[in-house]
Amino acid sequence: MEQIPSCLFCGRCLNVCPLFQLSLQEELSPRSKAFSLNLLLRGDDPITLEDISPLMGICLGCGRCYEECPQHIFVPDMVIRVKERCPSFKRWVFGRFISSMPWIFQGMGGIVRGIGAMLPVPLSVLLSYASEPPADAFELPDNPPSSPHSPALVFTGCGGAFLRPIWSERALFITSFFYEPISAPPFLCCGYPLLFAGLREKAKEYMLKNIEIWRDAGRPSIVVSCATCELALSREYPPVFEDEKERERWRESIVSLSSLVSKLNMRLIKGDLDFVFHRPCHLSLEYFEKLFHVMRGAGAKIVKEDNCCGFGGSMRLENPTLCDMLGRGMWERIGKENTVVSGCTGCIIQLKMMNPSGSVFHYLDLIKI
Amino acid sequence: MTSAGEMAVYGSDASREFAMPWVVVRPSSSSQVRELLKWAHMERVPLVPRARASNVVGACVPVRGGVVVSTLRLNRILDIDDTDFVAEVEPGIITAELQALLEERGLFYPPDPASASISTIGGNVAQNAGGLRAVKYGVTRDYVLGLDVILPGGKPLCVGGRNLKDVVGLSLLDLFVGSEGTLGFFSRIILRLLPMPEDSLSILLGYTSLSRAVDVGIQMLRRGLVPVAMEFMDADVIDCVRDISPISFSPSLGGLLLVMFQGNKGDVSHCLKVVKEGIARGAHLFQWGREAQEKEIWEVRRLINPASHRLGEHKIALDIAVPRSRVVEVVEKSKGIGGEYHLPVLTFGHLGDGNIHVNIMYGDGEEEFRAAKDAASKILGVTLDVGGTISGEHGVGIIKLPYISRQLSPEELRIMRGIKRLFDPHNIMNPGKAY
Repeated sequence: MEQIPSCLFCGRCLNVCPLFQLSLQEELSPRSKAFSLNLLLRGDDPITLEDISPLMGICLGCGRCYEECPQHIFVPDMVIRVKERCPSFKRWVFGRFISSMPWIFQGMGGIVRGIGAMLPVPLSVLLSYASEPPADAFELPDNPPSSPHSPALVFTGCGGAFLRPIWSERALFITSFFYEPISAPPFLCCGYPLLFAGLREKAKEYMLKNIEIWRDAGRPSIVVSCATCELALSREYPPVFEDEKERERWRESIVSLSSLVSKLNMRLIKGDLDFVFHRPCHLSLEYFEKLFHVMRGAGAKIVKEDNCCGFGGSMRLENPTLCDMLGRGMWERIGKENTVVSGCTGCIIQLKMMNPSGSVFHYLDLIKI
Repeated sequence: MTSAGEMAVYGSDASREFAMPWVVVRPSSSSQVRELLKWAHMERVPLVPRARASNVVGACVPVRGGVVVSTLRLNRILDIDDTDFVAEVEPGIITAELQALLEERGLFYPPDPASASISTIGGNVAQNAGGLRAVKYGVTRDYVLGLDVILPGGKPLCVGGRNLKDVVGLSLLDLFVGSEGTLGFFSRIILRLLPMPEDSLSILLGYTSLSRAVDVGIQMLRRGLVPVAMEFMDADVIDCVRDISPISFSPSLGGLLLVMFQGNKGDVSHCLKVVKEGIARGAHLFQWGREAQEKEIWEVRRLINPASHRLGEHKIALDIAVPRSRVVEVVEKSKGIGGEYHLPVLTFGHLGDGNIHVNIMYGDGEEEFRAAKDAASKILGVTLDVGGTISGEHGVGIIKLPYISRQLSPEELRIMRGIKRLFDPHNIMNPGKAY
């Protein structure tokens, strides 16, 4: 395992790590993970990979510690490296869950349903979410703000592909205001959930297939609607490329759907719209400021919520108790009766699971097409 | 908790020294702490209290093994009283969180160690933390009115109370403050509060030399201005933070002076006027502000520690204190000693109280480490030669223990160790530390 920067023990990460804040258990903190891995790499202390592997499984992968770390240590990367070397049954199950998404959602997943209790999320919540009506609070202008000028693919991740196909329809429609959408085979999972479960090879397989789809489509822009997918596409995909020019082209091709939506002159269809915007950890609140500006300009009242919901990817299998405590804590702060909007499939699943009767939407659900 | 993977983090602190604990416990009530101290006393098992472990001297490292006791779940605020102007808290409350809560009520807990947003009141009391505001307000000791302590064996002891004046008997309270966890376990801390100052303003002055910056600071004091904080940064420190600083610094700057004034609006404006119209003339950088701009000025100061590692993976961080008149001399000699060993030496800190942070930066390898240690030893010698102290605010822990007999006489050490035996006859409380 390659060397990593040393943790200085400054403690800044303690103030932002949702797990530490919740539990006050220092062993769960980012600095614990960074420090114990450093100890291991030093090689002269009584600590083994097996000692630290369970600890590494208890990380939400939110990356909030990275934002504070003076050493720029990205703990989720370290967690991934350890998980890769310590495969576990639960991580394998998580991988199977991700790769079984098409079967689950296309109603052919009898066997998968049979092991429902082992799955990271209750299937009933996921399966019924697809048919919940959208909020349809805003209508779009009759005329597009600009004429489409270049080709684009739309990347809505597992959310748009399986969980809630309406997101794909809407993302495609909004994209068509700015780009020429291209017909292409659907993208697969972005790969990040697999990567974070330590299943790098599987993740890479998905990444390469997605890159192939992009290449075959003529390397167009990719409009992304999910925060975690956007993180994966912009952070994890570039190292996969061998050709420097193509890597740059990929980087330049990533477009956030929220940046397109924020250029639309939306109108509220009727009355008031109050909602809480839950920040996905993988994008900052500032990232969504333009979107808020436009929605507020149209009359929406938005309260920003900057705490982690506790989804945690494969951590849901490794320590569901902590994930649930974070999710419930979030609803207690928000109020279960309030509408919550976010921009990440994982967050939306977690929020919905923790409050199945609650109104939880992607911002795409707010925009009637 | 007994697994090595979980316990590893509890074996270190910001000194980055390490020793694996035998066990880690996380009590959430003082009755649990009493039981623990009773058991440890009976079994002669070392106990190492620990909160956020931000101290840089190894005070939380279990060098003799034993049980690390995390205080993080002892974090309740027991009372805030705006008549007596006191707060009663458990040791695990974060200092900055307490300060923010007090501020909402118009109350003020002045001690402000650089780690305030990370560190806890318990840790601050154990180390008698200083900080930026010591020039006007003093250090943690000046704000501890009372303590509930659980002694080895489990016996509770209450010292002090809510009285601002108390001259009965020897002050046991003062023994506990700064005792580095060697005498007993704090279960309740009574803090003295002040009314929140009405106004706060900070000034940043830059000069081509450090001695000029220091002269200007001294002039302010002579003019009757009493700043809350008065900090300096040398040219190498400016270079270190330049890239990440919210304020841009020209390469010609050789010294910075950061000053904070607090009080009523009239007083603060008067201080600004005196600085603007006289003292600041000739400054190459002059910036002042309130609120967000003030925060920006102090962010520069808070960035030093993380930024310093650009010059070396490791550091020996000295926090010597000398009479104010000797600051420049000691800084220059420290830099000279660094030069002799080809190691970067950063100096910055609290000009107002002569407390200089000297960071000797070094890289990997035994040779550099030995050179850094030799340089540190020489700098401590220079400090003691001018009547200074080897630690102004960090404490001794394990890092400065080898040097302690150069400052304290055998008789002083004999008395200190004798006092410890009275409280802790089996030497279970944080053994191998401090004195």
